[in-house]
Amino acid sequence: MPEEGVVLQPISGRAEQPAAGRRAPLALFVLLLALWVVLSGKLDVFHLALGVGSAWGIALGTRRLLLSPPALGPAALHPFAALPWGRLLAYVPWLAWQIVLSSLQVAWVVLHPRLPICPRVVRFRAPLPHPLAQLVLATSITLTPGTVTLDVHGDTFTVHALTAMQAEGLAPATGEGEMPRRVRALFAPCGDAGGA
Amino acid sequence: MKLIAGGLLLCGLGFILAGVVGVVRLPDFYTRLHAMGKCDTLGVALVVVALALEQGISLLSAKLLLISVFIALANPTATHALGRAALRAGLCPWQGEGEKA
Repeated sequence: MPEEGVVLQPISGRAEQPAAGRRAPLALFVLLLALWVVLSGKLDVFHLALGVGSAWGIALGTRRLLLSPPALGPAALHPFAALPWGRLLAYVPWLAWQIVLSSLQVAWVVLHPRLPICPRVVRFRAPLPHPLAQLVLATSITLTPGTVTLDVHGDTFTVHALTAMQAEGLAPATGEGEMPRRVRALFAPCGDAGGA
Repeated sequence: MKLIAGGLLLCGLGFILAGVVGVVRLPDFYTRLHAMGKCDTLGVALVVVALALEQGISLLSAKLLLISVFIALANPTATHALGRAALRAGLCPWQGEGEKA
């Protein structure tokens, strides 16, 4: 979701795209076609041709859509190409485990007779390179039970947390929270993946 | 396999139940947002995975897993939109009774 605070920049003519950016529509096409095949379940020529046609049309038609400012990814790169898919494979299981852990925590708090909640709003800064990385962090925070991203403005994240422990896990008094650090490592340039 | 599926189904329902109880018990909009938006994340995912296991490897189970992926994407978006709208509208979060740290 593009933020309102992002400065709109004039579309700079026909900037040449990196090679990865040109391959992005192809990746989208393959993904859409796979989705089509799974959803239709019919493998005869007629239905497959319909799938190929519509997937190709969508991939071509939306090619420029995600590139126009405000740009999500770095340097007018298609978000598909900007996502570090390899590192995501390691990040998603970790995130899933965090979701399980904090779901148990929230369920325990909610079912506890005394309802030991201590809700608070925390603000913290997470220096991330581009809006796509911010989107991943904001979505991860919201996906994890007990914390909701309320707003992102520049580098500053406003998060509502259900318990003080969760607020501290995200924005400790000193240093950086576990999740912001992982997302930063996710989008760090190659060779600088940050400590695991 | 049936046993595992049944177990996952029960766990998922347990989380959804916790979410519902949370909506009733928690004090304000933001905290209820946690209960409703979230227990669904895991609860629905567990239920859907249980159904997929029950079904075995087939096109149907692939569709079921797709559902859980879409929910995992749509859920935080909706929760974030609601929370942000509330914050912008000036709704103050509940701070607890006399316990402001």
